[in-house]
Order: sequence, then structure tokens, then C-alpha cells
Amino acid sequence: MSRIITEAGLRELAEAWLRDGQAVAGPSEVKLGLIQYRPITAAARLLFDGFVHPANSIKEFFFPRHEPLYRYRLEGSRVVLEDCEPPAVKQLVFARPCDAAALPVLDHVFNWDCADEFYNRRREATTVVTLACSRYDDECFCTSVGLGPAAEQGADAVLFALGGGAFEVRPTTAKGDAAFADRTEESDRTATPFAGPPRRVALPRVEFDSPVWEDATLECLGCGACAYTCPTCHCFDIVDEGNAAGGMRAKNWDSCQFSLFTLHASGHNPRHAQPRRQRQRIYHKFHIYPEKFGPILCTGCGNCARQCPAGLGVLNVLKAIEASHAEHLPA
Amino acid sequence: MSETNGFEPKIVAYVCNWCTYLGADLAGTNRLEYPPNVRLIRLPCTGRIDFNLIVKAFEMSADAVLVSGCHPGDCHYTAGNYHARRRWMLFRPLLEALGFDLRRIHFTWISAAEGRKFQQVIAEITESARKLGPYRPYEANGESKWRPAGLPPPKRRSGDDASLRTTARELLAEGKAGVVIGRGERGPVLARKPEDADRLTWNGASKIALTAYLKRKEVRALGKPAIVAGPADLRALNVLEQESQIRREDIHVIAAEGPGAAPPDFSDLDALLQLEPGERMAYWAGEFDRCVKCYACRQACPLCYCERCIVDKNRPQAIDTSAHARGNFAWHITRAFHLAGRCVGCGACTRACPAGIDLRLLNQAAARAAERQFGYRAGADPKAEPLVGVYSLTDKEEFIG
Amino acid sequence: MARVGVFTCWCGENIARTVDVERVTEDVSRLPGVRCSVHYKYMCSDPGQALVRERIAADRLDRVVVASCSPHMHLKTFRRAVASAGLNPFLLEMANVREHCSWVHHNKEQATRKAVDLIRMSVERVKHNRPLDPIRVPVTRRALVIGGGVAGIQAALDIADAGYEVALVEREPSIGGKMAGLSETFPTLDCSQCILTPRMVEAGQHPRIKLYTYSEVEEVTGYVGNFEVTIRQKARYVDVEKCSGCGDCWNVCPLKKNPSEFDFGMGFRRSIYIPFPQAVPARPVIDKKTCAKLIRNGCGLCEKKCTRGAINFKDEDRLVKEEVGVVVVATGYRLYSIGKQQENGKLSGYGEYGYGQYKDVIDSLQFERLVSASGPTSGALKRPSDGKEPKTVVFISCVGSRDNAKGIPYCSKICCMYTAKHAMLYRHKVHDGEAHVFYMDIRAGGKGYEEFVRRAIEQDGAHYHRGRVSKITEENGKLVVRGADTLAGVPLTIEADLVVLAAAMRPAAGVETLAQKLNVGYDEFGWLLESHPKLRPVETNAAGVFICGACHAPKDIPESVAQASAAAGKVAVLFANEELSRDPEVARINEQTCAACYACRRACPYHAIEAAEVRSPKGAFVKNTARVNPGLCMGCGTCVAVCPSKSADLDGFSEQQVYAMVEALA
Repeated sequence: MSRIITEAGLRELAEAWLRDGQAVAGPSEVKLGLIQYRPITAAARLLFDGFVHPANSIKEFFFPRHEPLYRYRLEGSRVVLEDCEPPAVKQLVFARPCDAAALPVLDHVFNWDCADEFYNRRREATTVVTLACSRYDDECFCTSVGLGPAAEQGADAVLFALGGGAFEVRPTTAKGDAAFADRTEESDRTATPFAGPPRRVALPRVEFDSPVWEDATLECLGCGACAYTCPTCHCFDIVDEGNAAGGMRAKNWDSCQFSLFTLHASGHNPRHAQPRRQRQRIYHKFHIYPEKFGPILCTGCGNCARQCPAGLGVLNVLKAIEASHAEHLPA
Repeated sequence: MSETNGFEPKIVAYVCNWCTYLGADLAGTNRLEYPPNVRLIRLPCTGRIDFNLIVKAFEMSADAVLVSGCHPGDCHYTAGNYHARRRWMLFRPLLEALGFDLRRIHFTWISAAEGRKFQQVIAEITESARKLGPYRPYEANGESKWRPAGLPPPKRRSGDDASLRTTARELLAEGKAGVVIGRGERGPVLARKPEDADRLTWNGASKIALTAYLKRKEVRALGKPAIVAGPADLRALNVLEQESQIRREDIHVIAAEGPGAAPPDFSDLDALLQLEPGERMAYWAGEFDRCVKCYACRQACPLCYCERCIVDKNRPQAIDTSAHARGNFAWHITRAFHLAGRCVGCGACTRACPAGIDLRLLNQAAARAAERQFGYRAGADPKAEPLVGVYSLTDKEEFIG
Repeated sequence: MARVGVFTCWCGENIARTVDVERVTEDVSRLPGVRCSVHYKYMCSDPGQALVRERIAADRLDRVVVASCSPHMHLKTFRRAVASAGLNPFLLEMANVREHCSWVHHNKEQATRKAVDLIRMSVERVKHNRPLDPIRVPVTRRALVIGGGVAGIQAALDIADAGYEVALVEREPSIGGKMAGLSETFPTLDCSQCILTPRMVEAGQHPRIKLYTYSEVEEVTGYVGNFEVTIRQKARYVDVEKCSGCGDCWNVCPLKKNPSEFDFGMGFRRSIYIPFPQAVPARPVIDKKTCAKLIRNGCGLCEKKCTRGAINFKDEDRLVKEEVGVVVVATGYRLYSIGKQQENGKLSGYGEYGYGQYKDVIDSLQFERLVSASGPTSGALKRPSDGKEPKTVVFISCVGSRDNAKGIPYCSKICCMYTAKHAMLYRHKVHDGEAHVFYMDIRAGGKGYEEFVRRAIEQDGAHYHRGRVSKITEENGKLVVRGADTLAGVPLTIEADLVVLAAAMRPAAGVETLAQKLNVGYDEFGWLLESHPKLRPVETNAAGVFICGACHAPKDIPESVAQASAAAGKVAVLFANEELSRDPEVARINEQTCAACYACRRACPYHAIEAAEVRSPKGAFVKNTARVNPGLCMGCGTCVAVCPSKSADLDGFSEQQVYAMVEALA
């Protein structure tokens, strides 16, 4: 036996959250051919099928691209500080499993030496409902990083398309259960398992000193498209913005692919060329982060490759590393 | 003092030291009363007044901005006002495309003898700003349903891949080129070894302009580059040469056969300009709301080659780095203006944008102004004088009071 | 954190009447960084300035804002005041609360609030002011004068007499210019050569003047106080050191029929020649275009005749370098070429006057040679075609000048006067002759000028007709001049023996190229541009380059000489000190972030930005960059606005200072 919900039922669920003044986000078509995770104001905007992966990730709903930490005002000669709070509303986020799977990974870094209350509060206030995949494209490689089209990590409930506008609901947490309480019907239909993309690469050993970085990543132009659409990249910059009357201190996304990321005040830049920066990104995902926290910093969503203006991406670099190892195998 | 709803606009005036500032002094000496809403900022010359200052004034909640300097021919520095006029001619169409209310920006020539004119101008601007009401910087008023048709798919190039590869292989093998910059199936290819040449194809994937690689230090270090160039690339090379970034003899060009550059297609821009200014602003606010400031537009552009982009400079912070409405508007206005008279219309910014923002339309607004006002198309003629940094005595100034 | 002191002035009642100075002082005292806020009745008075000095010391202020009148009124006063207290004068800002506030607003509440705003802007700005020191540029106290006409000679003599060395460059074989060829000069009718020749000799013999005749300026590098000039000395084929100017060589030269440039083709010269008997230096040159030895290794008589061995047929152009601190341009004028053929598309000629077609239609400089006592006819008036004395002469003024259709809208200024002189000289020589003058207007402004024209008409009986000549034809050996007398309202036809056309003045050939070498501006006609038409008439926008004489605009001799002396005066002022001290509010380039697109270099009105290279301490090339020459920069800031990465900035009006003001308005 399974619990099922219709597409109309899902939209009704979203409408109910919106009616209660809570937030809903999910895949929606922002313009012809472009699907992004967006906060939505009407449930009709939500897309449940017909696409592989939105052009961004859901990290924005937990770790926004721009988040004021506190504000200040000058009153005469006094400086008045005002704390900033993340919005108190609950969020319902519809996501792909590879996006949701990033959340438990990110929990580590945002609760390591200091607990990021902005992140944690958003995390607590959010219910993540994933839409298990029924298709993939050339860039998908979740199965190569130990996940899959129906991975449950980070999800409060997983939806499986049954066809005919119906979805099987498998709550995985109490939050997920609560979200669908009284909204599902009992049914004997269950989803057919979907294998997802073939394993495209065996996770290779990542070497710091290797000619592969130069060989495989020289095409990188140094923008932040990969990092900013990646569900796991989490670097940020603390900036002060203000004027003579007041201002704020804010947390803004940053990317190790920018040449300024490691530029010292002296003018020296330890990562002086783009392949060094690419190395940092891959090395961090597959060596530094797992060494420190356990999980690797990649869910195989493939956004980095889809969004890279130069056609690179994690998978391609990993493949190049794999190939370079093969070359060096003894004959 | 007017009683219009009690709203008193804030007006920022950037004036030159030698004419308008002295004109304002004369108004004072002659006790010519005017509304107290204006704050003058004295600069040596209108030539010093950058459009970023206008943007910044509005960010600081100015309701109107005045830029005023010496009459043509009167500039203390001979030509600063002409340079300013030339820049405003390109800046205004850009603001127009953004849906900015141009009634809030005023340009005048006021001489040191025109205390009376200064008084009148301030009175008029104040009155007009009162009527317009408070300005909310870059806030969308509602939502726009308008969507551009978008970039056409890249034209297929007639060319023989085999001979392309042979050419590239030979260049690399004979050491005539250190790198061949071309396209492969997945995207750009930087062929460094003769065997890399097999990855090249005329009709590969391309979200960027290949000429963007010429600015990269890593690529420059490889030795003399050869580049597989289409019409837009050739124009970009011309602009890069005009701006002393390359020398053509240092670059081997493998040009595609077939027709040259098609004239730019301004139909989306025309459609955008059909909208009410308010809707245009709403359209852009919706687009920029998706901008995460990944700077793919900048990195993919062949002509964004600054060592340090202005957005990466923080003394002062001319553009907020945060990806909020204010910071995003300032960034995209700045980028488009820095490309005014330079953009070759390759479309790389638009193709590279992961958020699908049609940045091309902003560049086109300035490009069309360049065509209409100056008969100038960037990169079309390598010998042409660049558009910015020069001026003509006959530049039009119908917008200057 | 800056320690700012704010000093608000009452200006008696001028400010205090509409601005509540006490409240302003109180409000301002709470602004961040303000350590002291005081007011005083007259801040510019001695006790007011003393107050500023005292508080700087007492409150250890490192920045000062004076809220009073316009900086155009008292910026210098207060800069001196803070400097005397030991603070760098550029750490002072003013807030104009009088001209821009109290004098133009009546509502005290509003004016007071505005005054606080204006002061806040200045306080925020001054926090970003940097201490600046005057820029000092060493000066090479030698001058280059380009052009050896009357203006150049005068300028060279004045500078040399002031005690400085001068290099005088003249492209013709002799100095003297156009004036050396004139017959007599208006309005006094003194002989041109009589007054000029002594000056030429003086210049030639002056211990501090080095003559470079038959030479041209090839290249100019450097900037004010520090120019390096390359001079091309054209091959003369005569060693001026060995030559004594005896004349044996030119008397023996068999090639006698070369048209003389000095006589504008009215006379002839040999292939080895001095242009005119009083030439300075009195040393011949060989015309390589006609000399038989140089063309086909024939003749060589002059070489055989010369006892001093001064002839050198193997002579070549030489490049000489001169280091100078200033350049004076005195390149003069030429006449518009009247015929159909013009050198550029902007000008068109007068086919209908038959110049170049009829031998007896000549221009005014040719006429000068015809009536000159030292001219080809030794002053006897003989017309070119048959050498007969012309009995009827028609003078036409404004040929080209004031005619938009010909591309010359300006007035050539001197033609009215010399045409009157010509008519007079003609009548003095040919007592029974008729002189007719066609004119548009008579412009005779100048000392004794109007009287001179009246004399030509009333005493010397010249017939003046107000009107234009439409066509000149040759019929039966006569030139038939068809025109109109618009005052009489009748068409007029005159059968003349000689027609003299007062052609428009144009800048000397090649002046545009020279101006480009010097970075001096020129207008669409090629006249060089002065820095300011009223207040800086002999300066140019290229610091250290001065102009005088007819390279600037049509001028007569007295004006040219006056301007030459003015330029020399300017040079002497500049040379009065060993180094130049300049305002330090100039641009600078952050070479680390400069992308070397050179938009700034294109935009700079003063050519103060150059392409340069950044090199490592060991001298390895790092990158290209733009670089400001602070000796040339005038501080307009145009470079800042066109620099996309804001690698250009302007001290005194820096990006940080200006943004701080705007952001103070939030």
C-alpha cells in the first residue's frame, strides 16, 4: 500500500501554505526554456515534471546570496546597532533529490566552529519535498557520487511520479509527514524504480600536484556560475555596505573561482592562475571537505556543467583525472 | 514654498568649478532666491562627472539629479564639457531602455554670468521633482509579462573541419602558434598540442566569445595564439586592437568563410521600447532579481578585460557587490555603459548568464545610439577612432538645457 | 579616525540672518569625527584665522572645514591659515553656506537645515583629503623659436636679451620671413627691409641666439621645462663655416632662370643662391632640384670657383638635438592659392579671375615684390606679361576671405590696409595711372589706419568701388574686369593692365603636422589655438608652448611683434625660477590596475597622459600602463570619468572624496 497525491493536491498543498502567509518555492519556468527554483506566489507556477534539473539550486532558501547580518545607524555621534533576523515564516520547498542531499552536507560547515543561526533557523523552518527523477541528461552523475534519482538525504518527503498526474508520497521525517497529513489517499499503486544515469566516473584519487589541472581546466574563464548554481558550494564574503547615515554588514556568496578570492593585500596571489583555482574547487569538494567532515561536497546534480559558459564542470574534470590515472598505469 | 503633499524632493547637482558653480555664486551675490532642495557638489569640470555618480546619487535617495557645466566653447579645460556631452548621449539611451524616468535627470550649461539661469533651473527642477513625487530607486512597480524573443541560435559556419584541424595541427607542430583557440563539441577548446587539433570543429558549442581568452594571463603565457574567428570575433579583435590590448600581427586568425557580420537585429529592443517606462523598469527588476553576481557576463565578454573591475574596487565602493536590487542595477548599468560604443554584439554575456538575463538588450540600446548618433558600429572599421574618449563639436545636445 | 574641526562663520549678518549659526554649530558637533565645532563673527578676519590656528593646536585637529563663503572667495585665505598652523593646506575644505545658502533662502529653518547638510558633505569629504605638496618640475632655461619671420626674430631677441639662450629654427635659407619681401609698410610707408634688416643682423650675431636656417623641427618629446627637440638641417651643399658669402659661386652658376621663391616667381635666381641680398646668414644654398652637378654630375663651376672649398656636393641632411624648456611657435602665414586647383576639398578657388592663366593677374605678395626697390624690377613697375608700365590697375580685396563658399569665412584683417597701400604706392610710381579698388567693407581699425585709407582715396586719388568683381577676361591685351559698384548701383567694367588680388591669409603649409608634434590644438583652418582667447592669448594647451604672429590668426606687423614680445615675456616668467611649481591637484594612475586601454590618453586635453611600462625592480617588463605627467596635467579629471576601472583618479577631487559627499546625503 502507498500514499498518493494528485498534482492538483500538491498545488492545493502549496496554496494552503501561501494562504497561511508561509513561503513556497520550487521549480518554475521564469522564461521560455529557463526553469529555476524560485519563490512562488501562486501554486500554478510550480512545475512537477518535464525537466531534468532547474538552472540553480535550493541552497538559496537556506543560505541566500545576500543576507544582512546586522544594520547600523548613526544618530548624532552614537552608532546604533540593529540585529537582523531571518524571516520567521515557514518554507515549503519542492526540490530534486540531488539538491536536498546537499543539505545534510552543508549542515556540517554551518555548525562547525560556530553555529550559523541564520542557516539553522531557515533549515528548521523549511520542509523539503523532493521530486524523484524519472529522467536524466548527459550532465547528471548522482549515481557516481553515491546518490541516485530517489535519494532521500535531506528530504522530508519524496514524491514519485506515477503518471496520470498522481504522485506517490514517501515521507521520511515527521515534518514531511505533517505536511502531507490528511492530503494523501491510500492506494495500491507504487512507483517503478528508476535506475537513473549510468555511473559515469569512478571517484578518482585527487592529487594536488598533477598536470591534469592545467590540461583539463585551462578553458575556465573564472566566473562564479558553477559555484553559484552548485547546491553544495557555500563560500561567502562578509561585506559592509553603507554611507554616512548608516548601513549593514552582510553575508554574500563568494566563489573560489574569482581571482580576487585569494588576492592578498600585498598584491601576492597564491592561486595566481585559473587552473589553480579549479584545483581548489575540485580538491575542496573531494578531499578537503571529506577529510574534515566526512561527506564529499558534490551531489552529482550536473549544474556546474550545464551552467559553465566554457563547457567544463566537475564531471568533466573528474573524468580527466580518471583518464590521467589510466595513462600512468603500468602497462 | 509649495504645498504639494508636503513632499520636498532631494536634488543633487554636480557642477563644474568654473562656470556653474560661479553661476550659483552669482545667484547668491545677487540674492536670487530659489528652493533650498538642491545640494551642489563641486567638481573641476563636467568632464570629471562620471555616470556612476548619477547612479550613486539616486541610490542615496535623490529625487532628481542635475549635471551642469560650461557652455560649449567655454570649458576651462577646452573640451571637458564636450567629452561629457558625448558620454551622456550614450548614457541616456541606456537609461531609457532600463525604463528609468529621464525627467529626473537634467543637463544644463550655466555660465558664471548666468546667476539668473541658475535660479530658474533650480526652481524648475525642484517643481518638476515635486510633481513627480519621491523616487524609489529601481523598485519594480508590478510585474512585466513581456519577454524578448531572445538571441537567435548561432549561425552554422560552412567550413571543412578536416582542413581546420590540419591548419591547427600544423600551426602547433611548427611552433607558429602556442595555442589554437577554437570550439569543440562541448565548448571552447584551447589546443596546445598538435593532437588536440582533432577536437576542433567549426560548429561547436559556444556560450562565450573565443576572443575572451585573449585577455587571460594563463592563455597569454602559452605563446602566440591562433584563433578560430567568426564575424563577431573579428570585430572584437578590431576593438581590442583599437584599445591597445592586442597587436594583430601577434595573433594568427583562422577566419570562417561565408558572409560577414549581419546587421544587428534590434527587434527585441524595439519591442522593449514600446513598453511604458514603468513596465520596462518592472521587466528589468524581474530579470535582475535573478542575478546572483556570478560575473559570467563579464568573464565571457571579449571586451571586459580590465585588470581590476570597478565592482571589485572598494575605495570607494561605486557599485554595491551585494546581489540585491540596488547592487544589481548599478552593476548592469555600469557594465552596459562601459561597453557603449565598444560592444560588438557577440551575445556572449546573454548566453553565459546562468539566470537567462537578456543583457544583450542593454548593450544594444547603447549600440543603436552609437549607430544613429555617430554612424558608428564598434569593430566594423579597425582604423576608426573609438567613440568614447573623443568628441565632436557637432555632437547633438537637444537634451541639454 | 579623522579629527575634524568645523569653523562656521557668521559673516556678520550675511550668514547669520538666515542661518541659525549656533544651532548649526551644535548639530555639526555631533557628526562622526568632528572634534571641535565653533562659530565666529568673521572667520576670514585675523582673529577668525587665529581661532582656526588655536583650535588646530588645542584639539590636535588633522582636518578642517570652514563653513563660510564661496571657495572662490576665501579658499586660499584659509589654506594659508591652516598651513601656518602646520597642517597641510589641502586638508582644508570649505562649505559654501553664504552664496549657496543664506543669500538665496529666506526661510531660516530650511536654510539652517541646508547649511548643516552642506557642512556634513564637506566633513565627510575632508576625511578623504590627502596632504598634497606642490609639484616641482625642473626647467631647462633655453628656448626654441620656430619660425624666423618678424615675430620669431622679435621673440628670439627678447628672450636672448633677457639672458637666456635661444635656438631659432627657420625652414628657408634665410631668416626674415614674409616681411623681408615687403616693399613699404602701412601706415607709415617706411621701407620694410630698412626696419627689419637690422633686427635680422642682430639675431644673426646675438651671442645667445643659435640660428638653424634651412632647417625644420623633426620631432618634439618631453614636456614643459624639459623638451628635447630634433631639428633636421637640410643639406645645403655649402659649408657655412668655410663660406664667406663672397658671391663668386652664384655669379658663376650658369642656371639663371629658376623662378625665385622669395620673389614669388616675379624674378629669377641661380641654382646656387642666396634668396635676397640681405639674407641672414649670407650664405648660399644649392637647389638640388636644378643643380646640374647634383642631377647629372655635370657643371661643378661653383666648386671650382670657390677658393675656400666651401662647396660640398656630398652634403646630407643632419639631425641635431636641442634641449629646451619652452617652445615659441611663430610659423606665420601663406596666401590662399587663388586658382581653381586647391590642396584640399574644404577650399575652392576662383577660376573666374584667371589667376595662373593671365600673367597680369597677380596676388598681393607678388605685387609687393614688383614695387620693392630690391625686387626683380628694382622698384620699376613693370607688368609681368610684357614689362610695360600698367596704366590702369585694379585691386580686388577679400579674395577668398569672408567667403563661406570658398571655405574661408574669416576676415584676413590686413588686406584693407595693404590694398590701400598698394594703390598709394602705385600712384606714387605711376602718376598718370588709375588705381581702382573693389572692396566689401573697409576695416581700418588701428592707430593711423583710417587716416591712411582716407589718404589713399583723397590725396592719392584711388578709386574705391564697393562691390565684387564677377569675372576677369583678357581681351585685346587688356584685362576686362567686370564688377559692380553697389553704392552707385551700377555695373562696372574696367579695362585694366594689371589686376592685384588680395588673397586670404592661411596658416603656413605644414603647420598641422608641427602642431601635432607639439600637441598644440588648431582650428578647422589650421590656425593654432591659444589657451584662452582673452586671458591666455599667447599660451597654448600644451604647457610650455607659446604662439605668436600669424600662425595664430591673420595679423599685421605691429600685432605680430607685440605678441612675440608677449610670448617672450611669458617665457621669461617661466625661466625666472629654476623649477616650476604647479598645483598638485592633478590626476594619477593606479598602475597596478590600469588595463592600458588608453581611453584617458585619448581624452586628455593636455596630452598629459602617456603610454608607459611597468617594470620589475630588476627591469623586466611587467605590463603596459598609462601614466600621468604631473608637469602637464591641469586637473580637469576627464581621464577619471572615461576610465572604466577607475584606475585614474584626481587628487583634490578623488573618487573617495566625491563619493563621500554624495553618500553624506543619504
